[in-house]
Amino acid sequence: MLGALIIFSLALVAVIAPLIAPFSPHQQDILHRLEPPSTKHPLGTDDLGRDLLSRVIYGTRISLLVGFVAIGIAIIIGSILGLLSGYFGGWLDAVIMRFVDIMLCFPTFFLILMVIAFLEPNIWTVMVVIGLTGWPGLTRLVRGECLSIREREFVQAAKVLGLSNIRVMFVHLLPNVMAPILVTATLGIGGAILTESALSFLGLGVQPPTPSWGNILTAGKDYITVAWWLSLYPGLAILITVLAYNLLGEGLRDVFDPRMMAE
Amino acid sequence: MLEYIVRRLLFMIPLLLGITIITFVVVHLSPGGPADMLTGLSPKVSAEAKARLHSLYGLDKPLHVQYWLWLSRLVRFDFGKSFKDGRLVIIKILERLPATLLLNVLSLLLIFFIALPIGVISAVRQDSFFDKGMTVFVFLGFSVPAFWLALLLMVLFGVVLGWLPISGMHSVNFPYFSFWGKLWDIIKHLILPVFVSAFGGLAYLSRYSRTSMLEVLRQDYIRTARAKGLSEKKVIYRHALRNALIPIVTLLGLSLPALIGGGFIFETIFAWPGMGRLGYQAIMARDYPVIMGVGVIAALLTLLGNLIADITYAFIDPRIRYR
Repeated sequence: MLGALIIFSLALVAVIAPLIAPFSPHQQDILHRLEPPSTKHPLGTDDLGRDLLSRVIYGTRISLLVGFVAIGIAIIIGSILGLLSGYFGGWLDAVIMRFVDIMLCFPTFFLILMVIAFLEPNIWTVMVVIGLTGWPGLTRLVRGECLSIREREFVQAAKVLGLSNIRVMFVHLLPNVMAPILVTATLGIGGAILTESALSFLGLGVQPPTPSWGNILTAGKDYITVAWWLSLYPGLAILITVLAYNLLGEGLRDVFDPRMMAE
Repeated sequence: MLEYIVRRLLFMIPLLLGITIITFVVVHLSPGGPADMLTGLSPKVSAEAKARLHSLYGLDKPLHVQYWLWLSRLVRFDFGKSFKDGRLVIIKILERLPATLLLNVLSLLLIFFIALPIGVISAVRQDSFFDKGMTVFVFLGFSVPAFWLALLLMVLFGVVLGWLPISGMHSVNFPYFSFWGKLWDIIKHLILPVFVSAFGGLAYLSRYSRTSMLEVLRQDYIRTARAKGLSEKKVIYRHALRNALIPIVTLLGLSLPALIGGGFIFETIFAWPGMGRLGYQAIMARDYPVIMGVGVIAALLTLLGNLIADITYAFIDPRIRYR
């Protein structure tokens, strides 16, 4: 479970960032801009003389925050809609699924770009928008699972006992649907982090001076021929983080798979 | 078969309506609205001038009326004029579309011809060194931020090694090249973007084809084929592969929209003159008509990709035609 280990350490880093970062990520030192890695600045400095290691460490916070919140939103919306759709069926199901189909038609990234460009780009917008583009897939998944579980005896028993619909949905259906949701969510966090960094790279995500791995790379690309470290390390950080989440997700999938009849 | 196609086409209509609605809503989300953007937020513009602009563009009418007006023009492919340079939006998009399509189709082909063999071989030699190695490669492929890879490759091949050009579709002295020279020039410019664009999809598709192939290999009819004494080659190519191909092809069709969407980043980084870059520049410049036009066209292409995937699927697998 290499993935879990990496993620745990990353989360730790994010939380105690102020303690372990050698410098403040905003502290500029113009005399020493664009310095290659050294003992004082293990990852070098950026174009304004800020220590790269500190910025990358603080960037961890942003990335993890975005990942969790965005996927959290997607899960909440997706699960609820999926449950409603799968449990009640009928016209509610038809309407929701049409909506899902429409949402899935859009090239996600473009939609995100559009929305963020029209509103102000800041971290909250980014999180909400990524969440709002992520729920359709989850809805489909949850709905499928609901449809197959709905006819099982324990659900019928609950209904016969007269439990309210809401209770049946949340107490009985939901826990059984959790497994694929968790897998998708974990893999989704990786995707969300990639999207956020791409957005920040394009200047539409987290705005400087707040360090995000993506916007460090934006600065990096201008100096790429003279300061390769600016471009290498943040990207490496993204790579390792997303890899960790993917490993975790795949691991979870392997654990749950014998129990899941179909995907 | 024909009936299936017609049914699918009919399904598309409400989807198209939904797309236009969403695009419209998104555009009008912005505070201030289009008129502010048109006047460049200049405070010197008087209130009356703004009001006149509003009525000129029909922005003072109620929203659903505006939507209806826009929709009726849309059906005639009249996307209006760009705010930036006043040219017809549809012309601007059509200029850029071939470039985007070129990039995406080539990426798709690359993905298909590389990922499929990788997946198949991985499945056939499950748990071998090759398989394990490929799995590592695939995981990396999932996790790599594409634009970062693009940057690194650009530096490596463009600057350090100087082999490949790093931006645009043509070199500066393009018009002076012979025909073959022009062809070679475009190819040189294509290599990096196509490779980076295909990288993510490669990982995904090879993983998927491996899974699909593994499932097929477990089936009874494969055992029968082997029991009949067919050579292993025949078993794999004639029986297993064809069946495994079905979901793969579907996935390929569905990948087209993803490529179009992801194309934005690549086109911007490599300064490739495609539709994605047009959309990005329009977003930056708050050029509303162009943004809406690109959005709708992109969604249309996505729908088209899905449609092609579905039809191909129905074509290959006769079982689902009679649903």
